[in-house]
Amino acid sequence: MQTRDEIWTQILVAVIFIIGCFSFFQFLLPYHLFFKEQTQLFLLTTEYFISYFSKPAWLACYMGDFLTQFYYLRGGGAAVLTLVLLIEWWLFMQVLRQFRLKKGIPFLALIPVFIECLLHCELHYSLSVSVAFILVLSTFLLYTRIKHTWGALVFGVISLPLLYIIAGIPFFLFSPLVIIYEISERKIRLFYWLLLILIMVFFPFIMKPLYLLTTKQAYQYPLSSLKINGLNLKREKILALASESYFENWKGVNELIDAEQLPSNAVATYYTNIALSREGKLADKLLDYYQPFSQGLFLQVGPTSNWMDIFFSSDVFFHVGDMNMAQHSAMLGMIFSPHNRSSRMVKRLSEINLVNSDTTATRKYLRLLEATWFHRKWALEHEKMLSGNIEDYPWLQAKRSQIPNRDIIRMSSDYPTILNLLLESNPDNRRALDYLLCFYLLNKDIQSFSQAYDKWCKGKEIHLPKAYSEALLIKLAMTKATQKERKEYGISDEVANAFAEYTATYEGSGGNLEPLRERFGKTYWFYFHFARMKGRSGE
Amino acid sequence: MKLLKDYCLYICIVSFLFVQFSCKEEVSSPQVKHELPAIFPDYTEVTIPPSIAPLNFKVEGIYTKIDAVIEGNTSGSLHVQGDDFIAIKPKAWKQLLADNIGGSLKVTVSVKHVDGWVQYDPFNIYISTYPIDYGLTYRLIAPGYEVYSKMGIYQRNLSDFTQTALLENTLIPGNCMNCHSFCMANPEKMSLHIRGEYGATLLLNDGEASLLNTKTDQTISSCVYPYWHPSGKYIAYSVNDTKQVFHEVKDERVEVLDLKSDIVVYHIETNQLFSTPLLKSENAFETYPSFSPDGRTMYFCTADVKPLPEEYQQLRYSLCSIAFNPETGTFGNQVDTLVSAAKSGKSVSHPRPSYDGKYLMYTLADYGNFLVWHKEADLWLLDLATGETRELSEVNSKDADSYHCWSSNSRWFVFGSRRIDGLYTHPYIASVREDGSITKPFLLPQETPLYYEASLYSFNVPEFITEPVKMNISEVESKLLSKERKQMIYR
Repeated sequence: MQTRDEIWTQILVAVIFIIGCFSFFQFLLPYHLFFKEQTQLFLLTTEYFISYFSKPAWLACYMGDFLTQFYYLRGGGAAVLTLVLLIEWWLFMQVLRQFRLKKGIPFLALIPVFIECLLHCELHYSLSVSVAFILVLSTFLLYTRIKHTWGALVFGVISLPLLYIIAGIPFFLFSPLVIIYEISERKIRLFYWLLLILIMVFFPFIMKPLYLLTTKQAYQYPLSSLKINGLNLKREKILALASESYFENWKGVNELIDAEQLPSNAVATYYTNIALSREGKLADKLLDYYQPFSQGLFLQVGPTSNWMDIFFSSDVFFHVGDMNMAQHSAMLGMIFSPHNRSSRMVKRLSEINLVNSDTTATRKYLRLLEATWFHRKWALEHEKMLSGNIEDYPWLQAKRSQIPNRDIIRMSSDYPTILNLLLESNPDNRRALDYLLCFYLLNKDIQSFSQAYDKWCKGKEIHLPKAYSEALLIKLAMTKATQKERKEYGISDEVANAFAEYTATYEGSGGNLEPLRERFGKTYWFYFHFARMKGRSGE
Repeated sequence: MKLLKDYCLYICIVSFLFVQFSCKEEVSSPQVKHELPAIFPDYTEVTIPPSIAPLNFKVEGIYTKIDAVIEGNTSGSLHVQGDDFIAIKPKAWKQLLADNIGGSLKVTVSVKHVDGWVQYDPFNIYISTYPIDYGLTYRLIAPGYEVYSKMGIYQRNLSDFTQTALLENTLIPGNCMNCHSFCMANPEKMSLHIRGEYGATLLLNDGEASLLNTKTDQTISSCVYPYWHPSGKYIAYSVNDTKQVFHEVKDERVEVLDLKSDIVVYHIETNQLFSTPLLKSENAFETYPSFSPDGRTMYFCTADVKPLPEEYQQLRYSLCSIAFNPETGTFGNQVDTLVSAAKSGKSVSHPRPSYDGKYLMYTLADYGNFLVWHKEADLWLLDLATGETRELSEVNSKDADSYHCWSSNSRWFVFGSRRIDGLYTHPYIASVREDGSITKPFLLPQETPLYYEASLYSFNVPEFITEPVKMNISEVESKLLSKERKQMIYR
């Protein structure tokens, strides 16, 4: 029987834990939780439910994934995590009471829960693991309720392998708990303990061929990795950009770009560039941000790429209007995501096929989304677009106008060919134009830039962005062009004078970057002279 | 007394549940529509083998109940009702098929809307007298090849819905599995490639697994597309330097080009690879080998070398043959052209002779040889006795119909088609009658017809097997991880 003080302590700890845990995830890692939902597609269908039986921990995984779908809601992720961890804390308290501990139980029970809190900061750490712990702890508490000796023994021996099947590797906790409990109860049953330990050690090994898992996977399922990196606020900023882009909250993306000190990371730059391009400011602001050569324009996809890069890689193709590459990348993104199916990618595939007027394929993906709780509304809205008047959907009209009208074949990484074709089909595709010209600029290919600029822009009444005018001055200097030629490009005297000043300082300092950094650090000239890929040398 | 009362209560509850869940609603005063129901999968007027799993289906559109009456023309009938789809009880279905072999089933479908029942014209399902093999093997893979994640090779029992994994790449993470091939549907003789860090060719010969390194200094790549010699002593492989490229228009998507390709033959007993200059020409691409059932002819596809990718649309493969002597392991001195690309203006791929020696089935498209993304790709049939070739209009669709494999009795064939959604390949099965005519194909039945809608995987390389493949997965895993490989020797 608990005393009044103990009950109040417990309530106090619970309230502090609820506030602390919710605030931690809601205010420090909201996008981390959104992203976890984006990398799964939880279907309320029988087929989908049955698919969980092919691997261990089916119940924990199903329940964990069911709860993870609530991460879609703002505040939903933090609330669900808080609730699950609160249950875990309560169960740990009950377990500690079985060991006849008297004092500090609410605080001791917080230790494993705190560790779990930190583990939930990892992208690979699934809510299924917490659910698995809940299943194991509950089973142990049930075990302690069985007073009949043989009943308890049979229950222990049967429930241990069953726990592996429904909860996975957290079943390792069960045998030590039973042994500690029995010692505290002064029941010494060595043979029984040995049997439990043998089941614990060998059962995953016995089951691994059935589940088609490697030995390592069999001993860590449903954990996909044992790496612990801790809280990663840099990644949170990247995921914020990626998620707000997905939510089409471009105002929010722009605020993040303006307000945050963005990390020097290709994905952060990638979404910054997409957001700038949407507003037609890519070439004006290109060098205001970290640019890892052209890898911030197109994310590299290959056998050594990390899955997140692959996951995000379709967005730029959709943005510039290359639906075939967008589709290919989205399919890869989905299959490489941890669950091999993703609500975000299925939405993107629906949109791509909608743009391509491929009704059957669009319906396939929309039907999948209709079988979810939180994407059903979106799917039904898009279903209407299949038969609706296209003029009612300006975004769809705009996207369809970008589709190329002739075919070529090219390697997936041959971006200039793709972008040139998009421009041939639709010369007003400003996004494709900026991506083409910036691709050349960031690869320091002034000649190709100049040829492309002359082909698509020269003589047209279009705004000359900062990066282009600075690059054109380099080309004009290389070809020893006349003042008249400079005027033909519409380069302002102000930029020309700055270039003269830059050149004089550069030559005066013997090619040293420091005297130029403050005044010219965000110019293309500075980038052209001093930018180096990380891992080589310099900046 | 109390016990009796409780007992009565339990009976009432159980009876209520039974009535609730098992009684069929009567299809009363239906509005009759004189048209066939739009069912998915389309099983109207199809011909099926007598051992096939139940053909569960749904009707396209919205309804609150679906009803089907299935009557055998000889004897027996079934009445099935469901909320979403028709799920036939396997035991009753099996009996109905057994009672009507060589006959047909008449299926009358009704659906209930808010304003009442609608009944459609009945359709027939014909039950062939030709048996079909035990099952199929296929690779389930997302349609994207550049880098690989989750995929697996599975075997499926055709008489029920059981699918078991032969190998999944969770077992060897980061690796890709492809081109599994059996010797005339014999599950004890299998060749399977695994690419990646633990890459090897897995050879299952009379049930014994070994891992081979198939790249030699004399060949341009590891072995790729396999075909077993009917004796089980040889395997023909293509060796290809392959590139994946992408189209830009929406109806075309991916193109796989061979920048180089040759054909080699592997003699299992001596571990030797060999070829002939006629199959390793510098001026031609040779690929997709297959053997005639007597083992004395090799069929293959060949095209003149073109600058690639510039002239990819001019790359057209002919169907050719060359004599092969299995006793000496030597080739003839002459290549015969059976279907000329120059004459047809089309490109041949994937020649597969039937095991009874009557036919050769191939895929025909506008250009190229990797045709799963070619919407115009269709199946064609060459009569080996008369030399006549014809399009299989009975089975082809507007989308890609590409990969095909014969059953061991040559009465059935399975092929991959993208006709459902244009993106994912699904397996269809059709039968060849005595006179060479082909029956309407049917989609591989699943327990729920919603399966294909929810699936995000293509059924790649469907192959018949006469029995389940027996493979010790733990042994294969440890062999793969050991990286010990038997090196093929080029003769």
